[in-house]
Amino acid sequence: MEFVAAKKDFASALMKASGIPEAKNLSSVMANLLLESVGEQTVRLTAQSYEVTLVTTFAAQVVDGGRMALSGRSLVDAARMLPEAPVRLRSTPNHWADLSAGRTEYRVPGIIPENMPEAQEPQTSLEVRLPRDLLVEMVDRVSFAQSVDEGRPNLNGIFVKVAPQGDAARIEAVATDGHRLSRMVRTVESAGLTEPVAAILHRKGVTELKRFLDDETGLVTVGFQRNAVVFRVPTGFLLVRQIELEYPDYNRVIPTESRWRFQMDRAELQSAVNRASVVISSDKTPLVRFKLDSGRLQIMAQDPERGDAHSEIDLGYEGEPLEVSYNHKYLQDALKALPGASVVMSVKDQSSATLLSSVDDDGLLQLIMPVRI
Amino acid sequence: MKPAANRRVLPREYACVLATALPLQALLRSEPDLAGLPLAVMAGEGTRAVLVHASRGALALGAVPGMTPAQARSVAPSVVLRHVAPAVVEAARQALVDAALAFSPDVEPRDADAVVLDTRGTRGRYPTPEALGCALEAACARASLRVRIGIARGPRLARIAARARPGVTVLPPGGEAEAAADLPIAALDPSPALADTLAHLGLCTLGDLARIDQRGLGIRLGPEGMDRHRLARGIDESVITPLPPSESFEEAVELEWTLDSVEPLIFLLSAALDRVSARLQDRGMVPRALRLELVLDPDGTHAVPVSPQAPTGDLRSLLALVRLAIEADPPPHPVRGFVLRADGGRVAGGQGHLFGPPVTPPSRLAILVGRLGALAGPNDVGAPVVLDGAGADPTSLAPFAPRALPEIRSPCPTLPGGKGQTAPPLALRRFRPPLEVAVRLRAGRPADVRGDGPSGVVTRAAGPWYAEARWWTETPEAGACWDIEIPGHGLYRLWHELGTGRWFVDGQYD
Repeated sequence: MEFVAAKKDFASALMKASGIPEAKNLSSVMANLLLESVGEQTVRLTAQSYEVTLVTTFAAQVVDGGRMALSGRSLVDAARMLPEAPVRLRSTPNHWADLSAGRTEYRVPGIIPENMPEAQEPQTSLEVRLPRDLLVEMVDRVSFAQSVDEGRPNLNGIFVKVAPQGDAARIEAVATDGHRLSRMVRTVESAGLTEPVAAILHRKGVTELKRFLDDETGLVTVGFQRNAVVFRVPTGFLLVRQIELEYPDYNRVIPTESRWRFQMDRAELQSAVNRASVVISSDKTPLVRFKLDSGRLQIMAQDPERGDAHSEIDLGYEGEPLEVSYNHKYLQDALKALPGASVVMSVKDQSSATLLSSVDDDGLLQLIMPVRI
Repeated sequence: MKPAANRRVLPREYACVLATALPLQALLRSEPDLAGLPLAVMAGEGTRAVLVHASRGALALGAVPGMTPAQARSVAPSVVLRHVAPAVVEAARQALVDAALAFSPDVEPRDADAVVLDTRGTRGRYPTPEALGCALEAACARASLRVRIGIARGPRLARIAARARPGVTVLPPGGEAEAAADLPIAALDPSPALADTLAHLGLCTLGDLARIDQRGLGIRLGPEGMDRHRLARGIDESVITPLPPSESFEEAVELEWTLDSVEPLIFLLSAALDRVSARLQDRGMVPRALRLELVLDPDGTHAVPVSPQAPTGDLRSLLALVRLAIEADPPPHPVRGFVLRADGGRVAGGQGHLFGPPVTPPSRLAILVGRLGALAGPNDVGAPVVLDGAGADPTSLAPFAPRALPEIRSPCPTLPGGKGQTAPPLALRRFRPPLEVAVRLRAGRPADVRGDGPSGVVTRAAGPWYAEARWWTETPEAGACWDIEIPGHGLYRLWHELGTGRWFVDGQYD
């Protein structure tokens, strides 16, 4: 097989696949990328892992049709470094390939392409059309709260629930690691959904989804299989394995009432927390303390080796005083994910979740559990 | 890194914090009730005892340092004479060091009653040396210490300034000699021989000494005289050797009387804990572990370790833990003092769980564990841990550290024929120690159980399940388990020791 492609198209397709091939065990067939010619003007790229399958196409001048399976890591690393010139990729008899652009050449190791598992065109019965921007927003605003603890596999992803509302559809995306929770609710017109559906997207797929949608615009067709979710765009699809476990009933932990409720400038609070976090050792309990009095909020942190930090924010608050502590990373992530200029903090008590919400966007909420000291 | 030429060199500045009559202050610090009384501190024992420090009240009555106790009592019968334990003085000295450490990382203890600290770079926070001195004074006052402050370009000059007069004395850079000119020669702390020589020469003040031409001075006064002459001229190029920071803090109290009950001891401990906690707080720490050493009457000590579940600054919780620890292991004799040592640590918190049970603050949990320890014995409270092996007691206790409930729970098995009803999980409640019983066998299987525990006819028995515990040791324990049902009592697990033939009820199925 041999083809010539624009560097931009070639590199863009490889970047979409860069996180999928097996990175640790390079002798695995899953550490390779499959390239196949489709007619004379297109090349199809397939990357597979246990959790994710990506199939995408890019424009190329196919000189000699066929297929090749090349080391994903070598190909991606080489593609990053190629100069701005047409890229030529030609397989050699030992299933390796010569990659050249301008006066740069690489020899990329490969395997017999027939050893690669086939990526079947996924069949989905239930589909919904969602704007690409909404899916990217979902990843940006919710995914940081996913758990990376393998002991809680049901939390290792984003829980997505889609329900039809006439012509429209209500999308709810939730992620939690047990200590914090992020939820986004949006309504999409003309989504074409006929019945409600829910799935937990594996976190590896969530990361790949954002990369997959990088250059896309418009609508993305999201199809649901029994154990996977498929995101289709005109150039290909991304299949993400579902976590086939029960997601916890998160609605019961969202407080419905609060004893303390105060509004402040989001950027100001974010800066104050960032300033406090300077003195927090990363390997110790990352505590930031809030002390709320009439008219002001004090934000404090203390570390025997790195010193103390103290900031104040003026508030239009006249009520009971409050002292509560949080993990500063959770606060920083939650504040970063909220839109708008103002943030509202609602606290029921020091042992219940604190709710952070945006004044400008009632579809987003962040929950953080305090630290008891 | 910037080249050295571009770096701003901060002018030298040192502060000396001098706690005059430190043993007297240490005594008042450990026993605040003595404040206001005519008080004098003695050194030496028996007939060699003399007064070394006296309070203003004692001085007003005529009891002055150098007197014997008998002399002091004869002139001032109401004077209170006390010895001060070295640990009490050391605690006060450490408090002085801690107060200084809140201002500078470079602190060196000087003599028995002073510390010198490098105060370069403090102008941003304290615009003048006087302001810095006042802040130092205030910090020491919070540690119940009255101090004199001297600030100068060199550590020895700072010490001279501190000794010169009460309050804050600043020797301005370049004007040290003029500022110190009227100070007596004694401020230079000369040896008796040098002091005699200078007195013979009619030199009474630093100004007198500074005016002498330095040529030929070495021959007449020797190296010490040269050194003091330089100091009198305001020249001090010495440096300090900073103390390595400590994370262990100590407070001590020694009493003239003995304590027989816990309450007054707790009262004194409360004040000591308050002081040690304040010192830790200045260093951004809270108590991580406490070690209480009770000094017993007439002699001996009794150690009481107190380990909070996690470092905490909650004094009430700590005091409650100390009380529980003392109640669990009371001292065998009356107490006439104590040393409280605290190791510092960072504040630790319990991160709350969205889907788990409410998190108990570590300080409260520690009190609960402490209370249970006082009831059941400190070695009998903890989290059960299953050890490798088998036998009657293959378990142990680990420190109790609660974890969040796992998110995923296995569904309960459905009861056979129960139309969807689920069976609750079966738990074995183990008896510790196991209950020894007499078992009658029929056809090699338990048929009847008699003893202090469950007794009765066995209607069903499952087993035996043979096990050998500690087979890797010289004394392995071989045995057999049986699950039995005694109508009217319940389901039990029996353990049969094959070596001895004894039977035990190991636990009951709930």
